[in-house]
Amino acid sequence: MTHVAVVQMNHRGESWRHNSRHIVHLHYEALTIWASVAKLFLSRGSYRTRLRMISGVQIRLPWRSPLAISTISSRSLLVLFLGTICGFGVGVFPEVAPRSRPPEIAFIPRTSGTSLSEHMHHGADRAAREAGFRLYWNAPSREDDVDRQISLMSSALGNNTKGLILGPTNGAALTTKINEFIDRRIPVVVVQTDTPIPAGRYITSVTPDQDAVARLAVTRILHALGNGGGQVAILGLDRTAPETLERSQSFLRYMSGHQEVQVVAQQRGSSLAPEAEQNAGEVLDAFPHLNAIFGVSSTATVGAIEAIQRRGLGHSIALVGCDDDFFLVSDLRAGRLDSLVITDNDQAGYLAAKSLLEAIGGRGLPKPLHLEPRLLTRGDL
Amino acid sequence: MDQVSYPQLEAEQAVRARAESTADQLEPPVIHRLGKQVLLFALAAAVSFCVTRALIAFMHSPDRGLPYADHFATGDNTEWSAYGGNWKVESGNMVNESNERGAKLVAGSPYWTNYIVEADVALRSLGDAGLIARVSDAEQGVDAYSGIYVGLRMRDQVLVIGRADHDWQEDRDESLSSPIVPNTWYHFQIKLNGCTVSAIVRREDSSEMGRAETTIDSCPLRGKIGLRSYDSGGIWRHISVTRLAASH
Repeated sequence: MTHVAVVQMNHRGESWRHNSRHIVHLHYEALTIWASVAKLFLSRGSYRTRLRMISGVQIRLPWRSPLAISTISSRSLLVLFLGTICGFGVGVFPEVAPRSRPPEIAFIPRTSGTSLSEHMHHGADRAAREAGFRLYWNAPSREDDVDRQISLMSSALGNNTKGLILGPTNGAALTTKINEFIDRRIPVVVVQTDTPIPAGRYITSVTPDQDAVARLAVTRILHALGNGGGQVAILGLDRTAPETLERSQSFLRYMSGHQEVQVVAQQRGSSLAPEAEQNAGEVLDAFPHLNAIFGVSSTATVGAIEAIQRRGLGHSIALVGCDDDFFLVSDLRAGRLDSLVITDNDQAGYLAAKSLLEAIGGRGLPKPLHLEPRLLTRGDL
Repeated sequence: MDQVSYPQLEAEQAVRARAESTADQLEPPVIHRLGKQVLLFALAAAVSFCVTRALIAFMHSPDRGLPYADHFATGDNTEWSAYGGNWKVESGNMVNESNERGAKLVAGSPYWTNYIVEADVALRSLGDAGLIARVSDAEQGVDAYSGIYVGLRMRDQVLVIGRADHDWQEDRDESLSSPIVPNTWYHFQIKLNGCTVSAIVRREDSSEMGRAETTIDSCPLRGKIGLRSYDSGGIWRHISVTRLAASH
């Protein structure tokens, strides 16, 4: 059944009839409304003109409509528009509604994807979950990528992080960014090395006891050398990683009491394993009677392993390394190094996050914590 | 036939005109008008809601964009997003020249769920390279994404399957029937069905080099696909994604 509607138009404020030209065939009034909207968008002329034209549309029906909409006024159009917006808003809301997220703390170590950082990650994540916090975790893909670490710290600040656990790639280069956190009263806990600025109300550290690391290494090397003593080299001194310098200084201090042992080389370090291998190779070539090596970082230890294996010196040099990182434990299991001085990195991460969360809770940061290291030998595995 | 006089006709016309004019001027009752507006509003809202939800359902469909293939025939790789690495299209191959750990290149729909992803992969040096699937929340960083990684690892010569969620959980490492040779093509076929991931790696002559299957706990259920390398450059070609039929 087709109904006939007669359309009256109001153009430029003047009423005039257009019975013959503007006859619209519609089955339902609702369709008339949508036809008007379509007309608004499809007809020629400016939108202002079209709107005026549409708002003047008057439809007379030859029967009394159940909806009784005989006129599409500008008010009706407004209602239509509001209804459309409302329906759209309700439809879209579940997709765009802000999901409630727990407060966040950030952990940005020197790098990630290594066993050392992953153990710390698990510990910190556990502490964060216990306190109802979310842990944001990311790091540069290289240990020396200071720019990337600064960028990640900026992102953390932008994301309104409540606190930061940081393993600085280069403490000196990060002091400005660390001070930004402190200025905003966001607590910072430094791991892996000491704080690049003095510890205080908003900054502290959770690190291995570097002196104890050196002491354990000295004891092990003395045991390996026996009474005869011998030549020892220290590998991996890196100014951007102050803990390597601390370990080296303590090592020299403890060794100074043993005249039978001669420390023949203190070789520079690198965060890149191939470069570390080259550095180790230079020492091995320069001192063919070397008896022991103390690798003060995990990268230095990895480099030393590669250099020793390449030269077939596996059984003549006692290599004592530091930190449970990369594949060092499997290397230890395979007998490629004598021993490793390690700390419980899971515990370090847990304590760092715990300290941070206490500070966020208003209880203040504790003084720097020093974790006791232990010596890991093949026998322990 | 009755003749109607002109005065009578004029009178009738006048009455009719008056009646029309009065009807035009009559305003419907306020409540009636309010009811109309409410009805109009509800109708518009309902239609708009339905259209919006239908559009969202279409956009979120796990089948949208499948099957997918990229043969890198042109240099246009704008649909891919890089997270680290140094990526370029070269002679129909996607090449990552960087040894950056955890470099990723991601494409596809975040709503893909169960699918088969295939590609040819060649490692360029030591380290590992492969494919990632059901990727979301990707950032630059070693394991900075949520998803599943399947790759060949040179160091211990294994086919590895693991799950990354801004950390790394290795699920399987299957030994290979022959050593991995750098710059040699290996064909990967990875099936993701729920939390079950199965992977087959074949040599260029289609002989099987390694196979692994695992069920990952609390796995990501949907996401994009990607290329990933760790401490090794890599080359990828003939990427394809097809929907995994329910019967698989």
